[in-house]
Amino acid sequence: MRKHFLISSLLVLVLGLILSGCAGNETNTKKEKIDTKEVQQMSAYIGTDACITCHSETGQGFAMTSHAGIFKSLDQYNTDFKQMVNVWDGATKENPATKAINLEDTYGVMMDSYVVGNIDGFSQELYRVASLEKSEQGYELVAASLKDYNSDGIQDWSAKAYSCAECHSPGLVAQGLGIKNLEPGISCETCHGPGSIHAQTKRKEAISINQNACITCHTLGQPSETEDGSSLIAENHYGTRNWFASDHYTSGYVNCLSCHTSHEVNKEGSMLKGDNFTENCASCHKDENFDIEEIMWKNPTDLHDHVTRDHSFGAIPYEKIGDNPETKEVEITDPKIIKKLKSLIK
Amino acid sequence: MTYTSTNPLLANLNNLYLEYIGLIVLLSTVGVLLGIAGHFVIIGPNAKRLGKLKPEIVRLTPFERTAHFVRMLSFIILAVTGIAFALFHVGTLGLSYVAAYKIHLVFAALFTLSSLNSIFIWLKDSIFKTYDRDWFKVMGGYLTRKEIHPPSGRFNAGQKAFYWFSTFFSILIIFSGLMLAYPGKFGLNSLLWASVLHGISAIGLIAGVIAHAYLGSLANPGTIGTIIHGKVSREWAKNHHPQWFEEIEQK
Repeated sequence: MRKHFLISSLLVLVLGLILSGCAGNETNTKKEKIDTKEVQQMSAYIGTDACITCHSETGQGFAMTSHAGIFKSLDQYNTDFKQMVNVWDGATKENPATKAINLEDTYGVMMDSYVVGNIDGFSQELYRVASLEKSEQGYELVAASLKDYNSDGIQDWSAKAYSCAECHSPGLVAQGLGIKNLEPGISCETCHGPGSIHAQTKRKEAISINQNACITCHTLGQPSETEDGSSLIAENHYGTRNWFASDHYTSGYVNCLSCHTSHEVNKEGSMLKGDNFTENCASCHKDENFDIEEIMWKNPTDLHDHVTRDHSFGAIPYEKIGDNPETKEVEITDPKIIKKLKSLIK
Repeated sequence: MTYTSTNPLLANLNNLYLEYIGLIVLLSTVGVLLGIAGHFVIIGPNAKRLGKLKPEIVRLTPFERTAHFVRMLSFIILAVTGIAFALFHVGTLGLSYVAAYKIHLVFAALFTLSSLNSIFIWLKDSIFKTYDRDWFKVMGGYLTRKEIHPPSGRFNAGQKAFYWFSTFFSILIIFSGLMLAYPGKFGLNSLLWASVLHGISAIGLIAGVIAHAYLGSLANPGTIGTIIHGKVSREWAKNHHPQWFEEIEQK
């Protein structure tokens, strides 16, 4: 009995010593540089539920952001999606296929408007099979587009090719292991990469943490040109393209996350560190007073409220781009500015 | 400075592990329980008559019972929280990750203590003897409805096998768990190995422990008292553990 007691006391002592070091072990005290990119290639997606197991506050904050609402599941609408419709393949010109589909079987809704799904036998992977239209009762289901395919005098539902997935529903086009764990829209692993090895080893370096994640979608891009190449056509993310011409960016001292938040919103509900534009700028430019309409102009010919406010912060003023509000598409016609933007692309 | 990348073999093993962990957990719990139910229905309990006799021989000392109880309790709590971690479903337990993790660590300490203790106190009784071969030949009589009592010391050959099985996996799970509790002190690949081995050991132990619990209770009437009051009947000892019975009779 005494022997037993002795052994137990010894074990308690050893365990006490082990556990006493348990606090504050999150930092990597072992000098090891991890090749994040390579580790991520070997990782599998684990899904938001897994991430918020530990990062619950971050998850709650993210759910408030506009990123989280970019693609919603059908159950977030009080619209009745349970209805059969006959849709035609609007992405094919010759002999388009037609199929009866149940709108309930779609993946979800992009930006409260496009109902996105996959249709067996159609030429493309993803389609805007229907649209939501805001009405007094909420949202109403309408065709994505109408066309009389069989010449019976009745307009048919045309499914349009859906090319916004890369940024608006990255979960639908992600590649790699564990993609079944991803939600269709933007989720943790859209920006941070597949998280299995990070979750298992708790190593920060096993996950992507950098603003390259923002640039993936808020990109410099390849601006479309008019046919003669003399002017640039505005794209949806026009504003963030001009960011690369700003002093903020070229100085190398400021990045997206200097002004923006990634997992929380301000009082206005936007992903800004300050509570409003003025306060945000004032965190560096204390005594200056900027006019948002001037320094972050919004293009007046933006048809669908698609275009982000200009992010060149004065490097590309609206007056200088040579826009003609008469022409519907927003254009940059000033050759100097076109040259500048093109040189940024490389 | 060179950059650490993952060992491809390990990464592939890990991805395989992640893909099937849900199924493996199911097999090791529900699967084993179904197997037990099947055994209970088809073969049934061994030597029912021994369950109704008066327990009078001390089989486990209070110290042994305490060790067993602490190991059992901590194991159950570790298994429940551990499965929640493995399936990324800690919320289902109604706990935050931090709370579940702290509980896991506290009971891990108790499990380590009681396991090392158990490994030590039952070592001598778990060394295989030549007559254990006869037990294995009939698989302890568990595969037939006939009442068979192959030779057995204080522990029978099956219990000895479970001793070594649980010792092996306990040590593996303790060491890998210790590594995972100190992620900053180990390399990425070591941690990944630890993660996979921790999971595999847990699965092995969970399946083994469920079977062990069945064999020590429903499958052998008269046995469960061993871990409660520590006593068994003389007939029980004579039948189930003849060599041990002879030994204590001679004392």
